Amino acid sequence: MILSKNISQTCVYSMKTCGRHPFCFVFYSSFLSLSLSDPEWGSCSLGVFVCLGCSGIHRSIPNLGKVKSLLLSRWEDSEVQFISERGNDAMNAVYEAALPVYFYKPTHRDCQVLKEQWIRAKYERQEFVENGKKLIYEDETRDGMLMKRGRDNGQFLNRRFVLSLRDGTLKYYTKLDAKEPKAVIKVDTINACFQPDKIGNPNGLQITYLRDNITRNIFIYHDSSREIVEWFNCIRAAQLHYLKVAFPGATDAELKPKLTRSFLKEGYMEKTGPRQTEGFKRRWFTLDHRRLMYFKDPLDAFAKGEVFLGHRDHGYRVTIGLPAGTQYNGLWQYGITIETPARSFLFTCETDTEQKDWMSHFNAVTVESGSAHHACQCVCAGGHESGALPCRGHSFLSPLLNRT
Amino acid sequence: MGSYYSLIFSRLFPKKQITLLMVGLDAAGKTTVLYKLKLGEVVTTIPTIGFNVETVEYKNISFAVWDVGGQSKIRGLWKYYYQHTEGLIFVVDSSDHDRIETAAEELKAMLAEDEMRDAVLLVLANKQDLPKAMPVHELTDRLGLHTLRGRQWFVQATCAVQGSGLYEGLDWLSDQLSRR
Repeated sequence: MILSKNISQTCVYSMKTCGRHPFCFVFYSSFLSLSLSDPEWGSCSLGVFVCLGCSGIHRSIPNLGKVKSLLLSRWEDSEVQFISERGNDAMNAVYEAALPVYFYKPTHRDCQVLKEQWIRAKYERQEFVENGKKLIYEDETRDGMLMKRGRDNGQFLNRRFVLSLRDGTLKYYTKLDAKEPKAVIKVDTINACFQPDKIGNPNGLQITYLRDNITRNIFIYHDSSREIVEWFNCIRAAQLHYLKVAFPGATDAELKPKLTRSFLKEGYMEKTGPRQTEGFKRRWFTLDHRRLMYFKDPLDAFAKGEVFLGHRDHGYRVTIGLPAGTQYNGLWQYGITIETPARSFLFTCETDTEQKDWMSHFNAVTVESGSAHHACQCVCAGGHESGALPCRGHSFLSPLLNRT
Repeated sequence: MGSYYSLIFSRLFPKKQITLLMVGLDAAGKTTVLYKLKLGEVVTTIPTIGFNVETVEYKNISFAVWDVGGQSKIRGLWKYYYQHTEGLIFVVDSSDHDRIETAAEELKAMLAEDEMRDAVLLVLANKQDLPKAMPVHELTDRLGLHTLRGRQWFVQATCAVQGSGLYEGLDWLSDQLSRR
């Protein structure tokens, strides 16, 4: 344990308990739990504490001033004084005073582009300091070019996208002067999430929407990280605008979870067909809350099929291993069985770690009662007369499709 | 057969190996320099806790570059890397007017070490793209380089994120060290 005898340094340690950084979910009950492997950082010019990853972003932005390590840097008395008079709660009250509900505030799990742009928007551009300022995200329309991956050839080409807040639609055009859009997507059916690894671009964004009851994926990016994150937050702003019109009585807290969200887990598993005697085939799986979709290729436009994961009380069960007598005729040996009222689905994972990870996510969703999600049992398209809010899965929800 | 000749060739003319130590104050851009040379691209860096080491091949010379973290309390660890260092790369944030004296002191202390007696010194005046960046002649003055005796030194203006100046710096190092 390295603890400095320097009084200033000790002050910084003890102040840590009052400062909470949005990305750092590591809290210390006492400063004794600090160790060299887990150093924390502070911005001497902003007066906030940050984690190692964010300190890298802070120091890469020249206007944000200096970051120092609480353990590895020497702090001047004036700097200690400065940060002790501020801290994260006080500074968030300033820099997030007017943070809009729709604006996505990243967590430590999010990708670099989201974190970097959040720090720039919050501290460098100070977008959320003043109340009543009209932000770019709330513009009536947003019209611009984005690189979109071609459905069949996989080539990224420049396409015009138009997001309309009032119409609640996102359109894209294959030709710049085209009169008719290639697709009109209703914002309430959209999910958008950053996928740098899958798309192979640090600014890669996946947009998923429902077309004729079938999930469609499109993959886009923009060379500018600021642009792509602006598009992302504009989509969220348009969604919130739509939801506020659709559900006038709902609070922001109720509506916020209905905006875009990240997938719970993605990865390869092997899967057999409905007769359970077919050979196991490798597929890319995406778990989007209660919908488990599978694809031949991670960047396929359409899922080959999907499995709906309802609540345990409604006949949905997830067990480890395959039913007795089933042949493990694929390459992988770690089985998972999902029973739904309609049929059983058999999967195999490459490693036991993967198997356990999938199991924990499947178990979590099948025991989760979830406010609106029990209603997903029925396939209701648009029937929300009861006044209940539709869950996100709902607006997406397609009946148990299995087209293999 | 071709591979046989190339084997003979490499035995007769072995690729020269040069060990470089790259230090400087925190946030000077050392890691960005290292990976710009190694990968040719700008990587997102976090403060270096410990060190990075990479081999950079350039003009038939193999540079082993040690990039050691620059936070004030770990600068004392630089000395463990002095041994076998033929060239010292000292990276300076040219826009950091407040800490140029600190940088000068660290550099002076390091050059006074016996193990660094024969090392040639390349100063990278980094972040030249920033508006307040000091020009090379001002940095040279403020680092006190004109007072150095018995030392080969050179200051190269660089912008690591654009990659400018980096290979000019390596050219100078390879010129100096291949004469030995």
